[in-house]
Amino acid sequence: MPAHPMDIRIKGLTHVYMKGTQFEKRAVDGVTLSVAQGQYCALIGRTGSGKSTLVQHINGLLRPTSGTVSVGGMEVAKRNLRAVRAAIGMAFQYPEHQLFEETVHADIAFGLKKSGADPAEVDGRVSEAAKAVGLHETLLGKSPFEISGGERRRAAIAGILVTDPSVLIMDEPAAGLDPKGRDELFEIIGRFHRDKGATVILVSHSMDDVAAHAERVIAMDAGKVVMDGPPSEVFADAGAIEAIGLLPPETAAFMARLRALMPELGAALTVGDAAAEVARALRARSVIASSQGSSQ
Amino acid sequence: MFGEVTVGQYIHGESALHRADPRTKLIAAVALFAVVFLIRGYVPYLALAAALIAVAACSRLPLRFVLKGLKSLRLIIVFSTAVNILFNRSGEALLEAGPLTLTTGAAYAGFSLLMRLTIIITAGSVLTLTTTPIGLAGAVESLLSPLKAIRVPVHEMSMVMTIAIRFIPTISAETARIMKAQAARGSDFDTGGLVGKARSLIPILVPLFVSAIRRADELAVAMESRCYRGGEGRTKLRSLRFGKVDLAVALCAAAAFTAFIAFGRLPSVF
Repeated sequence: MPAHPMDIRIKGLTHVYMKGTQFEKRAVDGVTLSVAQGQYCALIGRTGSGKSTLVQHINGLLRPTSGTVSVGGMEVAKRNLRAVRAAIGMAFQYPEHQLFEETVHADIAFGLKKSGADPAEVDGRVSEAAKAVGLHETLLGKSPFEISGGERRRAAIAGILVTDPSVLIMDEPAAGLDPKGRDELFEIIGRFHRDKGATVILVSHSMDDVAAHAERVIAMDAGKVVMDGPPSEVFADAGAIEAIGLLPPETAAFMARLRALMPELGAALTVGDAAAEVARALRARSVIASSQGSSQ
Repeated sequence: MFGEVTVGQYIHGESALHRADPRTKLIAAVALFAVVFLIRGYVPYLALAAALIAVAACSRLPLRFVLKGLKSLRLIIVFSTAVNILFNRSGEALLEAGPLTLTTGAAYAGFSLLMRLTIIITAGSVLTLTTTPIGLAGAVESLLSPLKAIRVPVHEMSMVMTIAIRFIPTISAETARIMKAQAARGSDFDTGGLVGKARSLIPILVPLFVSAIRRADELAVAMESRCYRGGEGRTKLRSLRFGKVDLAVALCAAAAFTAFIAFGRLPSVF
């Protein structure tokens, strides 16, 4: 962990696209938000709600129309850009589209070399990053264009993790992956979060992924933050979630329907929690039933 | 950097200029380009500019959009006008300032070049702002269709043009996305010498070409699966029709151009 925590502080952030034209659009509207170092946050909201615009201010890819953003006490401005970007890893949707080098190894090393890492360290850190994403050593010498789609995604993520960022911003990282690839990707992100104490900001449309992995959920609508809290709290109000154009996690919806039959059921957001909750309720019933049976 | 691409930008409207047949507009624009080079003298150029402003006003587009094309080419306009004024020595001296002399010939050369560039660019903007790219490509195809007799693949050329225009915004959005992804990994596009800057383009150009080729491949499959087989016997969703508006536009343009050429070529007019 760095000497001072890389907290993200966003104050009164507004971003207006194409200002002064007929296409003017207020994508982010007065957002104030902080994310402490080490938090696993999810940013949810319908398409066009301002999530991607918001996260692109954190590493200075977009400049605020008004308001400020700081990371670890540094204001995200031109003079700090290099330091800020070195501390933040960011993956866009389909990150494998950024691959360009002749070998997978060179591509993973790209960001590392740009950050001025010791050349003697490069090989070791590239191997470590490749291992972290489950990319076999033999693939490192191949061209990024001759490996499979899933391997390309891993290589691209490795190229982001290799610089050991304190903050990891992932914009729909699992888009287009099969269920197994999806699980493995979230395992990679989760492991990086735990082992390195990194902040994770996950932008996602999959409420199931969000419910399963994030400890804090921030919901946006029309450029504003409308809900912010732990998943159990944010997803508790299914009506509010639907009002901003999203659907609650499938497990939550399933539990809500099951509650019509078993009113004593509590809430659960993941399949594991739901199974445990149903088992608990059933056990409680059978205890009651058997105690009633024995008293007769 | 890529946000201001206005090539072929079309702004929807309901004016007569919008509704006119793209072929009429294209021919009128080409004729106007010819007229620009045929006329001489201060008054004819100013009159032609005034006429063009009147036409632009008919389109009911905000003036800002019409003049946007000029803004992007302002350096070329200013530079070439300045060169003409500075290095022309014909005619009588009008003004003298140290080593520089402004002659009547230089003033006129600068003026006519300025007017020619401004008129051509503005007319081009009016054409593309009021005509959909698809309409323009259709007009080119229709006007060149006699060439099919000598086996020129006119339809294919027009299809290539249509697709190219259609993909400008897609590719420019893709470029912006790739630039951001590489910037997030520490790429720096502003610093370094010429070699450094050229080198920093590699991480953008390689993914861009890869995705453009992938897109082309997917598009080809999509077109073939819809049974596209080239121009032979193909009909159009919006077939071009020469209507009353076109007749009016064509007659007005023809009359105006004849007048301009007749009037503008008289040597006595200054």
